Amino acid sequence: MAFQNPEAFYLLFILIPLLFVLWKGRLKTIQVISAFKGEPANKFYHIAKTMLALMLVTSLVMITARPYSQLKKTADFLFLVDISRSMQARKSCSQPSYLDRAKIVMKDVVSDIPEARFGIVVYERLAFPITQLTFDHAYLDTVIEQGIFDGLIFDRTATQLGKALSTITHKKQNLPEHYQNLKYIILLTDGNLKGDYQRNMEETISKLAQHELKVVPVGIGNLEPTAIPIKENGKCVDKFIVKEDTLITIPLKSETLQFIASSTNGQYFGEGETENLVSYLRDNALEDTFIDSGISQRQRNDVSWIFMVISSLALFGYIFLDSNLSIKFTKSK
Amino acid sequence: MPLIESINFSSPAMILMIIPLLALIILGLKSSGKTGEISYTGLEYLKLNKKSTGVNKKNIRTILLIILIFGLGILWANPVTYSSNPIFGSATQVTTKQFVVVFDMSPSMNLVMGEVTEEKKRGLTVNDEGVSKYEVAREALFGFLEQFSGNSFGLILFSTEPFLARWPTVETQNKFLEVLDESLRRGSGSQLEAYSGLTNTDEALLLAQEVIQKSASVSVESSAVILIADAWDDLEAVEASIRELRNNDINIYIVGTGVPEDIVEKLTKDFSDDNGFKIFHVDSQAEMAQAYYLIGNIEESESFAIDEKFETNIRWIIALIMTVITSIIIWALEIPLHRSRSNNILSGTGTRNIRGLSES
Repeated sequence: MAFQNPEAFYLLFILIPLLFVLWKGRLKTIQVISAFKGEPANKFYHIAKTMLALMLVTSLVMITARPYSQLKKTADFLFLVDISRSMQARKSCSQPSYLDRAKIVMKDVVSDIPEARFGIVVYERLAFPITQLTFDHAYLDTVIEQGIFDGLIFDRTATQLGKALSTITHKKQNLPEHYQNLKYIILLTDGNLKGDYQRNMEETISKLAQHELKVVPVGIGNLEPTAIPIKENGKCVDKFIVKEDTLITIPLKSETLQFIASSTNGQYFGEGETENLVSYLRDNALEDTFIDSGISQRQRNDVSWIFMVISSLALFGYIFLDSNLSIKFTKSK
Repeated sequence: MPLIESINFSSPAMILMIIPLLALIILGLKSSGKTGEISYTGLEYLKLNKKSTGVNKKNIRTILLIILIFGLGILWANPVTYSSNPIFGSATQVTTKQFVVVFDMSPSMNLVMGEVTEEKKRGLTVNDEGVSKYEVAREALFGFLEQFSGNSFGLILFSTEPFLARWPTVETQNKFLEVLDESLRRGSGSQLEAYSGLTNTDEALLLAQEVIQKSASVSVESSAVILIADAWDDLEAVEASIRELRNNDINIYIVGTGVPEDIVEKLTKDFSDDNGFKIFHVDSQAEMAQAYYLIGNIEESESFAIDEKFETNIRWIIALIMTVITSIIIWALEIPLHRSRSNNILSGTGTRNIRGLSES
């Protein structure tokens, strides 16, 4: 826990006169009880009352000091999302497309790692970052929901994963102030790559290693070949894309993604393994951060509520001791 | 204008946290009333000041405790102030303008600013010493982002098709460098160069309108599109898109880097009675800077300026005041309104006796 207004702690000097006041109050009580030959209160009564009064004032001082907690660990993650035409595959228009399913995974990961900073890069033939790396997870949710869609970039049928990964390494090299803490790329794709992908990816894998980037692919799609519905006036209709009298179908190519994961020291996950994915990212990627570093500024959580609870309890206790209820309570005991 | 325009509560329901405290006060009052029990209250004070009875003291003590409880309730409700200027150095801007910058990425944006000739259009691009239209426009945009920092900016790149490169965000300190750091120059091998193709201005404007409508929120008070382009093929389609934007109360500024004068004149004439549209013919870096300066002026003019509102959480200030008030109240409860606590519970007769003693 840290404080935004540490100078407020000077207010704690007020406790000294307050102690004096409470002591004077106690002397007065002794005087009156002696005069009326009353039964002195329980010996803990005055101690408890003093403690509660001090606790009340101290917790108010703490709230004045604006306490905040700062998560000690954080990480930067980049989602690399395939937005090519194949990600529109689905069995029928009533079902979510592969891209819709990728969005669900992204949202789950973002919400399950609140201390992390995320960015989103979309790719097909080209790859572009569509968000900055940000701690603003509400903004990310909006972008995932509204800002990623079929046809975001116009050239949808020439997916180039290798080039997309190379673009990220290039950006990490050229924009160190933005991407220096980036170590994990969460790849969301059906894994459909053309040609000899292992050979084609060699140079990219080498660049990824050079820039200490690991790829964590999440396989999105069905194991059985799934067709791509046609869109008419922007709406899905239950007719499927056919090319040269052949229905175009998209199966999930998990072996491709497993190859990418193992080549980059990452790990492959299925889309139903979000919990495992989150655990993996938490265990491997979260690192200690420096307090007040640029990364951690936005991670401050107001924890005044802790002292609000303490002050409320202290006031409750103080009022209770001050009332006749405490006398009754003592008697009943 | 007052420093603080209004005060609100972020969590008004949390004020219910004081219910147990109020219940305790009521129980305490009922307890003494019903049974006739009384502890030795204010005898010292009564001896010194016979005008004030124990009942008065009890009421004052109760009032003071209720003040403490309500002070705590205000803290729970998390008070915030709204002001036209940031106060206490920790304010966040809650009303913003929203700009969507629509940036032409066609190959012609790679020509040297102000030197567009038919010969050059056929092949000559910017040389190493020259600065392209794209680069000039990008630098000017960076300045504009700084000028309007705190406001929301989106970015659409367009060529053969428009591309939403950035959903509107207030985090503009990176100036969209993740995208715009790339070169558009031929042979650079950049993504932007690969993206660069034809010019589909009207589709880009329609996408801008769609994004503005989808991202509308209570904090966005006005929206504007800034189109940076050097040419377009279908003037009618572009004009229709501009009208569509204006019909939706979205301002549009066109920074035309080499747009022919006749087009500038036509559009200026067609929208002459519309303050929300302006086209600038730009042929140099200075003119580019001037165009952005004028856009800034228009957006900050009386017609389009928004009531900037800053939200400041003042819980800590209330806590500061409460610290002082609580200390004073504790002093009051312990000294002038002192109540001596004994384990004796006197009978109703005893109560009358004591009151009688003090009043006699």
